Amino acid sequence: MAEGWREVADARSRPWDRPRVRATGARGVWWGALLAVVVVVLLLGAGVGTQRADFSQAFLPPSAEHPFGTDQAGRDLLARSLAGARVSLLVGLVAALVSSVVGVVVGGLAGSLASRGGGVVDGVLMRLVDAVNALPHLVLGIVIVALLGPSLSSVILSVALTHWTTTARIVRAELLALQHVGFVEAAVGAGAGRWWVLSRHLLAHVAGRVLLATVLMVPHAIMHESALSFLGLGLPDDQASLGTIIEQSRTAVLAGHWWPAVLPGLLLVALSLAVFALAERLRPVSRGRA
Amino acid sequence: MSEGYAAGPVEGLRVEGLGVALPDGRGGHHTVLEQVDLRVPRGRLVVLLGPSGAGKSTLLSALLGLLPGGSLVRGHGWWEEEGAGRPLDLVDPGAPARARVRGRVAAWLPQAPQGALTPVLTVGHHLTEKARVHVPVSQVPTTVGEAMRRHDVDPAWRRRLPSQLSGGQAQRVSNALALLGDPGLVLADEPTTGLDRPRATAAADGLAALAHDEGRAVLVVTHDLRLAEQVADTVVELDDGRSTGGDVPVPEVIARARTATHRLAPHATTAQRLAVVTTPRSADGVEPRPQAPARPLHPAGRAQPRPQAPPSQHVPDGPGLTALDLTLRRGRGTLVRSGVTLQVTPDRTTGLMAPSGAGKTTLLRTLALLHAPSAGQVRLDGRPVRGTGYAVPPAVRRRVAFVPQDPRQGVDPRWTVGRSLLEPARLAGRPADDTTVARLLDRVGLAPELASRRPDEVSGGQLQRVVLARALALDADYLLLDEPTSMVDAATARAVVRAVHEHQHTTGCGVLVASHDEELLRTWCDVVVEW
Amino acid sequence: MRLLDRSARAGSPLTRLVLGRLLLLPVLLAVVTLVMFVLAQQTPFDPVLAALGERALTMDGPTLEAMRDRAGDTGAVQQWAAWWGNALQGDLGVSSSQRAPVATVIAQRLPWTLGLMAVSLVLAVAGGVLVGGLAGTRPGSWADRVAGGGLLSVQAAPPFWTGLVAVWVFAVWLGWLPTGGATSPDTDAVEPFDVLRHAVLPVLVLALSQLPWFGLVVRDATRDALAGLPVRAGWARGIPTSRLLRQHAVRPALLPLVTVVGVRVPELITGAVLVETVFSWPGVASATVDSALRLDFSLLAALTVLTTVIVVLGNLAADVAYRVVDPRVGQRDG
Repeated sequence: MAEGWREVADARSRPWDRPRVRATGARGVWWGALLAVVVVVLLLGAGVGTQRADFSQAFLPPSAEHPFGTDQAGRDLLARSLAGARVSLLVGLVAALVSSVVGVVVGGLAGSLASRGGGVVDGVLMRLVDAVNALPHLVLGIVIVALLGPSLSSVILSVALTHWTTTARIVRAELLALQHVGFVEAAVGAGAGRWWVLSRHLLAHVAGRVLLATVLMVPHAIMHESALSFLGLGLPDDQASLGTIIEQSRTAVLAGHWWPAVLPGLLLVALSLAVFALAERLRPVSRGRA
Repeated sequence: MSEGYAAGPVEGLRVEGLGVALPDGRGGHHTVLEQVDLRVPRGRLVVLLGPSGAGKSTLLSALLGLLPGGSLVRGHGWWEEEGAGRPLDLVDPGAPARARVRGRVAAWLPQAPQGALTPVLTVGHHLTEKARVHVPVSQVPTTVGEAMRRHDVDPAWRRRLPSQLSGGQAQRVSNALALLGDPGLVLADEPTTGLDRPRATAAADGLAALAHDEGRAVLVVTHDLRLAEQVADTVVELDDGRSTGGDVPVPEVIARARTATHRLAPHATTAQRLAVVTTPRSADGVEPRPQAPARPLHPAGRAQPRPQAPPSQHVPDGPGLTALDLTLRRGRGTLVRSGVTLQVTPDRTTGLMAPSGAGKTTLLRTLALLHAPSAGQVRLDGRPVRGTGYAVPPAVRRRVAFVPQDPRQGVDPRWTVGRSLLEPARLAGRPADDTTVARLLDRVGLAPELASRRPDEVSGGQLQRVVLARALALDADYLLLDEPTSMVDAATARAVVRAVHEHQHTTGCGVLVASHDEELLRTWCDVVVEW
Repeated sequence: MRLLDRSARAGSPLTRLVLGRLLLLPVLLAVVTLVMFVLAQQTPFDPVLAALGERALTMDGPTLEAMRDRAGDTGAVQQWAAWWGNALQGDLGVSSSQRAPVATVIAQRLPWTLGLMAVSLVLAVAGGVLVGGLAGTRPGSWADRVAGGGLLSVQAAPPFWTGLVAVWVFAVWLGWLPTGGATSPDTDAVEPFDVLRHAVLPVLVLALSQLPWFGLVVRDATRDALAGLPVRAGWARGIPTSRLLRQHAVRPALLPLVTVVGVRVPELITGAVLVETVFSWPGVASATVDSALRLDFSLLAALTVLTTVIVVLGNLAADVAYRVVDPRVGQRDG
């Protein structure tokens, strides 16, 4: 800068002008991706064979040998928690994918029909979205699992059937909003047909949003699954998820054994936060900025 | 500090060598104001004239202490008051002095008064809150009442929220609020934006009264030449970050500014045909507006007013893009305007002059076959066009090109500029390659290297020209431009006008320019329609 | 003139909104219960018992078995119709898990749940406004970072886990508060102080589980308001900073909160289900879980209907409140 420039003495004291939270750049994306890969590899690689029951070893507090301690059956809680986290993540991913597929189909149908005489279909689909949203998801999940019987597939179904509405709304809103955005109108004005606009402009935009919504849904799905498992409506002991492990620790807590509840729970929180962080890194990418 | 204070003490504002550089978001700075010198003595009204984006608002921000954090300044904005001892630098008074002068010396009249009020607080709340700052609690009610009386604020509005005020009411509330506590300096930002002529005149007179009757120092920043002509005691021009003309008589500065704008005009000779048509508003259920009488505008350099085109809306059946008795509604059905009839004729440039919010964009989108009118017809060379968007045959759609006001949304953010520019040719099945792109970029005065960039890597002005280039690539018979110069600097504006003019010269297309900028339309267009 | 115009028209969209929702409600209830009856045919659940209503209480085993055989042939739709026929007359059937009429079970348990939810909601909103306002008015500061990270972490923590941790710390380790229930087992009477002691942990845990959401909404809205023109204009008018932040930044942010409260009712119910289970709170939410685990179809059906009604009314209240509070909504663009 040339001579004589100075900063206004009290410039930094404006209430609205505190240092901005820095937007994460391209490097942040790679850190997020790396983090996610590490989490997944760790979970997939965690040994399952170490979960041997040995009742003489029950409720050992955390130590070097058992960093998470042992549970009521003397099983190593770290190995069990990692295996449980893997189940939780798997359920979360599959459920998020299934609900995204349902959401894209419903939202895409509603959004593309809304603008051309298909208003009735759009209306019915959106009322359906309202109706599903009008029910507390956990209660709906409880009803579904109760009626279908507890199993991996009914848990996934229960999550997917309650969570597709978010994606459906996003896809529909995005399609409708893009209809009047300058570059779409310009393409239409230049003689583009629906297929041209859809394949060359809309898909790329919607795909970014859907990807983000799907990733953001994973922690929701994990929460939902662990809540069901905690209520005893989720996964059985041999497929224990983190929710199941925490459920089994309830009586132990009353006896003063804190580790079977606290440590697997911390892992659950960490898992959700890691996926959230990944989603935050994906946010700029989903808007078309690297 | 006091070295700069050499001239004799004149009560009022004295800006000396003021420069402002704003942070560019990438750790650097870009200089908005280089060197601004001006004087606003008490009792005088000074107009700072400059195109949009010249840094006028930045100057006001600097004087009000509203510059964004990390900005750099140089020079001073001295405020001198009789009996107040040393003059005070409004730009950089230091924290303790700022706390003392904030809200007491300078009254800010922001460009959009409604948007500057807090939406959830009532008018009364706003006024009382400021009065509490300035007078003892016991005097608050009388002070508020006095301020409301002076600025014509109806006592019934006290309980209203800003959203429950009309534009004019909000303006009065904003004035009452700003002038409560009797500040000596008034800073007005584009006070006539969005107002039709009679209201703009009234607003200008109000500002003049603040200076001449109440003895305040009034600084008005605007790009509105007429406002300057009407009320200014002194006109200072701001161009390229530098101020000029503070010591030149007002008519001279105005004339100079007018000629400068006139250079934009591509064809002074065809301006022979210039005429103004004022369309009466056949409003049903619309708030009646004071209607300006139909009158010709006086193009610079010619003494004779043009004969006036008959306001009766006779529309010939010949070639042209015609709006026939349209009723326009926005979004979910708000009536924008009814009885709109207008024709865009080949090889002529038609101007549509209207304040912002009058429905220019809705009309242009309707003519571009993107928006359905709720009544009336769009005719293309005498034949009505049915439907909008995809329902219109592609060949018909290609005959009308539309350049929207905001270029940021005008191109796909994921595509390179080159790919966007090729889209029209690809859609029309014409062969096109990199040389086509380079030629298009050249036509709007851009370098061919731009082709490989993405929209977020080019400036707003460049993007505006990219969007224009894509519209030109259509080789349309009619080109519709929505406020083509409102968001760009003077150089870009010139490039835009030149490119459109050259294109029209080679293709003979009809051009419709919608703008609120009277000077631009007057110098550019063959016919100007005023709403 | 403008005002008059407004008040004349204000009634119609609001009435239409209320009527629309109230008409949607029975349809929604009918569909939800029908789906339940159809699905239950293939499961260990016993919808027949539900269809019989409270008559089932007076029947002995063999009669019931006979009824079941006969009813088993009638199909889900008939059972569903019979259930609704009884329900509309106030007979919701017998709860097999609680061994009492469903209506009685709900009447006993509903106040506990409503009390828990109401107090928690108030605390969560108050806490959210406080934390969100503090963080939002200081964007980028350490307070903002800590609050932001903290709110996200709390949001990522499942309420049942927070509840268990709270039980361990305050009931088991420190021994300050009871581990569960709403009253002490040795007393039959409901003593206010005793209930209060039992309610502290469930209420705080439920409030904590809802707080982050309100906090983040207030923080973001405050930040937006802070960056807007009105705050700058207020600053230029000389309004003292603390007042500027409170009145011109935080206060506008409370408006979006009004809708958010109603929309959060489903989440609040979800939280209540988990918290009531952890603390053995005798409310309807834990009864929902019980009924699902113990194959008690009558109770599950009635509770599902109840939940749906509460959620729909909550959403409706939010929409109405929003329109009443903010006159801008529904006026722009018709």
